[in-house]
Parts: sequence; C-alpha cells; structure tokens
Amino acid sequence: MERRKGWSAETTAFLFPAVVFLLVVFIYPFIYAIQLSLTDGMGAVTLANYIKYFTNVVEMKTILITLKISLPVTILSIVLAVSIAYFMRRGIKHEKLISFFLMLPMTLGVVLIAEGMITYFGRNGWVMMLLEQLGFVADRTSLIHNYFGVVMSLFIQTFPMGLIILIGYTSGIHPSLEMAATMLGATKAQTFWKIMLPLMMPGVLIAFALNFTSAFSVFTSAIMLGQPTSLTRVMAYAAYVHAYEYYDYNFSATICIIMIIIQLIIIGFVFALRNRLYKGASAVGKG
Amino acid sequence: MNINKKLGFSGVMFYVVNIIFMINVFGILLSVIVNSFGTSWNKGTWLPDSFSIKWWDYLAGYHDIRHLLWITMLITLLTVIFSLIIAYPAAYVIAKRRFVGKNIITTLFLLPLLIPPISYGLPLAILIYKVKLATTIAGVVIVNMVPTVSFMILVIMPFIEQIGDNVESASRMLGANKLQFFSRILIPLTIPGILSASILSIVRVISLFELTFLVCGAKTQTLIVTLFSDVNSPGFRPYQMIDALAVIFFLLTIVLATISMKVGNPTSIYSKI
Repeated sequence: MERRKGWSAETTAFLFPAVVFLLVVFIYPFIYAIQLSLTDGMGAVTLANYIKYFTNVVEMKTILITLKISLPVTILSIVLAVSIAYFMRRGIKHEKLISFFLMLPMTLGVVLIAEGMITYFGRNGWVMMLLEQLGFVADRTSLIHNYFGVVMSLFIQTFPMGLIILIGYTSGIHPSLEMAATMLGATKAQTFWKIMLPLMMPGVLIAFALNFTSAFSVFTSAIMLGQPTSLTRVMAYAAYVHAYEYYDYNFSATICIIMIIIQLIIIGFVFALRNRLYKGASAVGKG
Repeated sequence: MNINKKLGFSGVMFYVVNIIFMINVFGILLSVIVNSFGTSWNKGTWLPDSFSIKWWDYLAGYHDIRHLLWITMLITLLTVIFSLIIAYPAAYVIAKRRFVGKNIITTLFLLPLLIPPISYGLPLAILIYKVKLATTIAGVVIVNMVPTVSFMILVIMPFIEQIGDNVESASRMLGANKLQFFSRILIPLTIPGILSASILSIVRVISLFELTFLVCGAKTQTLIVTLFSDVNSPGFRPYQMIDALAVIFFLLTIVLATISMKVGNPTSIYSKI
C-alpha cells in the first residue's frame, strides 16, 4: 500500500482527465470572464465596463431587485428548515417518502414547476378559485408574473435543499446532550437556543451559503414567473441579455463577476456574524 | 425518557409547511395533467369545459416529439458515459490515495456542485461560442458534463471506499496487474455504485436547463429547453399543448427517478455535498 505523498504515475494518470477537464471547462471560464470584464471590445485593458455598470441606474437597480428576491427567500427557507430539521432530528415515520416528495420539485426542475405554476396559480387556476370561493378575494387576479411568483418558485426549489442539509446536522447531535440539558433543568426552548442551535451553526451557515448563491443566481424563475424586463429584472437575466441580445460579451462578463463578488460579500458577512455571536467549540457532539 | 410528547413550534411548522408544500406541488402537477386533456379552461371553472386528446395531437404536429426525445436521450447518455469515464478513475484516486494537494483537488471536483449553473454557465457559454462549438451536440454534452463529472465522483467515491485495501493487495500478490485488478475486480465490485451514479446522473441531466439553454441550437435542444421556449419565446402557443409536452417530460423524469430510487440511496439524488 503506497504511503508516498507524491504523485505517482498512476495517481497522475487517473486524475489527469478530470482535473484537466474541470480546469479548462470550469475554472478557465471564470478567468476568461475576469479578463473579458477588464477589456473592451478591441482587447485593450480598461475599467470602462465597471464604470459603465456602476453609473448605470438601470443596471444598479438589478442588484437591488435580485437582493430583494433572494434574501427573503433564503432567510425564510433557512428559518423553516432549521425548525423542521430540529423536529425531524430523531427520525420520523415515512421519512423517505416525505423526503421524496420534498425533493420532487428539484428532481423535476425549475422549468416544469414554473410552467405548472402558470396554470395552477394563474387567474383561472385552482388556488385563485379556492380563495374566491372562501371569500378571501373579491376579484381573481394572477398570483404569478410578478415578484410573488418568482419568490414562490425560488422557495420551492431552495427549501428542500436546505432541509436535507440541516437534517444531516441535527441528527448528528448526540441525544444525550439534550437529555443532559433537560436533566439539569433547562426548558425545551433553552435547550434549543443555547445548545442545539449553536451546534447546528456550521450546518446553518452552509445551508445559508448554498441557498443564497442559488437564489441570487435566479434566472429561469424570473423569466417564466416574473417580468424579466421590468419588475423582476435580475442580475443573471441582465447578464444574459447583454451577451445574447446585445452581443456585448465584455459587459455581460462584468455583470457575472459583480454577481460573484456580491455573493462572496454577503456570505462572508454572514460567516463573520457567526463568529461574533457564537464563540467556542461547535464540534462537540458530531462525529 | 420521551422528550417529544408535546407538539412544539417545530412540530407545528413541520406539519403545516409539509402539508402546504405537498398539496401545492401536487396541485401544480395535477393541473398540468388536467389542462393537457381539456379542450378549454379559461372561464374560471374547477375543471375544463370538456376533455379530449386534441391538444396531444396538436403537439405531435407542432413538435417532432420523436426527434426531441431522441436528442434528449442521446445528449444525456453521451454526457453520462463520458462523465463516467473521467469520473471513475478520479474517484478511485481520491478514495484510495494520499497525495500532495489532495484537498485542493477535491475542492475543485466538488465546486461545480456548489456553484449555481448560471454562474459558471454564462462565461462557459461565451467560451463555447468563441470556439465555435455552440449549437452542436458536442457543445451541449461538454457543458452538461461539468456538474455531472463532479456529481459522479461524489456518488462513486463511497462505493470505492467500501472495497477494502486488502482486496487490492491480495490481487497484486496473486499476480494481477493494475489493468486486471480494475477490469476483473474493482469495477465488477463497484457496479452498484456505477449504476447508481449513472441513473441518478441521467435524471439530473434531463432536468438541467440553464446550461443546455445557453449553448444549444434549434436542432440540439433537449426536452426541457423546448418546454421553456414554448412558454417564453415570441409567438402564441396554447397552454394545453405546452402542458401536454410538460406531461411527457414529467413522465420521463418520474419513471427514471423511481428507477433510481430502487437502485440507489434516495436522498443522494439531492445531496450536493
């Protein structure tokens, strides 16, 4: 059994295809995008794209729109996922079946769910009919083709993902910790806030990061269930339009890079927040 | 000692959210199916005016469904096969060997799963256009391979880890060379993992929209891209027909997903970590 730390011929040969493939097709595009964003159409290095972006009101608005859509969805997803994962920490009956149904939207993909939502949540859809029959609304309107539709679709896609991650974390906390807390006199609420939640924090942060990046990159939902040219003009859509309709690849790449930077800033901020709130060991109890 | 006797806040959340979630997802899918079989349904009634399969006939005339399904399966299978060829050796090395830079390489392999497709898809698509591979089957396969390679490495790794080191040592001692070890021992032993990764990847690739959308052409679009275009491209298409196409896609995915559930661990379809 080789214990060398160097790259043997075998290691290199086996890793080579995958590493090269991902470097070329995954890492290089990012570098290419950075390069594109810092050059103009002729290839000269310039900051013009960034200046153009930050002085353009319409484009700056997309940042706000995208944040307005992604942050509430992510926070709601995480809050609900935390409480439900906490409830499911010991396992529940039919867990596999429930997981299957929760995952169904992700398996089917955004397009199918969004397309179905157009019928289901539309003016003549069942939801509106029910609300009208129950007397909640006087006049049927469409629940989609607006901010609400995009948010709903995003929630359907991101919530299950966060839940699965958090269930992994809550079920990994040893039950004896909980029992010890109760024996020492803590109420259930105290146990949750002072013991369970701090231990779950790594999972909460990971789930938040994943959910947020996924939500911030919203594209399909904004087109199918929103008004991509006005109300729900999200950053991903703006980047797409500049590449595919205006053929301004440089500016499109600029938008992509700014998107990544914003995502990193927000995630960094959340991680920093956590360090200020929960000092101390959080690895106790999880193998 | 049963601490969970009372249904606290989290319990209420569990039932409320799950029930609302499932009812709505079920409702969404059901209304798609019902609409595709109805003649017209725009007067605010609970069911369409009457039922017929005329929109399915219309769909058959509007789209070349056979070509669509063929292209979708071709692209999916090519993606899965090529990804497997690249991913399997990489999974083996990660599972069984220590080497300098292992952490970085492992992170590289997992990154495509953590970053949303549109984020790397747009720069990648621009690149694919620059090398004139756009709208070709090769281009679509290449872009779809990116998340698939990562996913397969992730799924296959535990199956390889499971095979003890002594199996390899024993085979070497009995005179097998590397190739023989792989072809006659390791691969047969990890067939469940290969099957699992393949079927799960097939399901995933069929549902991958953004990557294919950005690089495909009219003749190389997959089913899900056609569905999107029907909804969003200029021009009018009756929703009943679009819903019929959606039902086809739904059936295809559900059948494959159910098969994959039997073959692999259910929640691994969705684990991104």
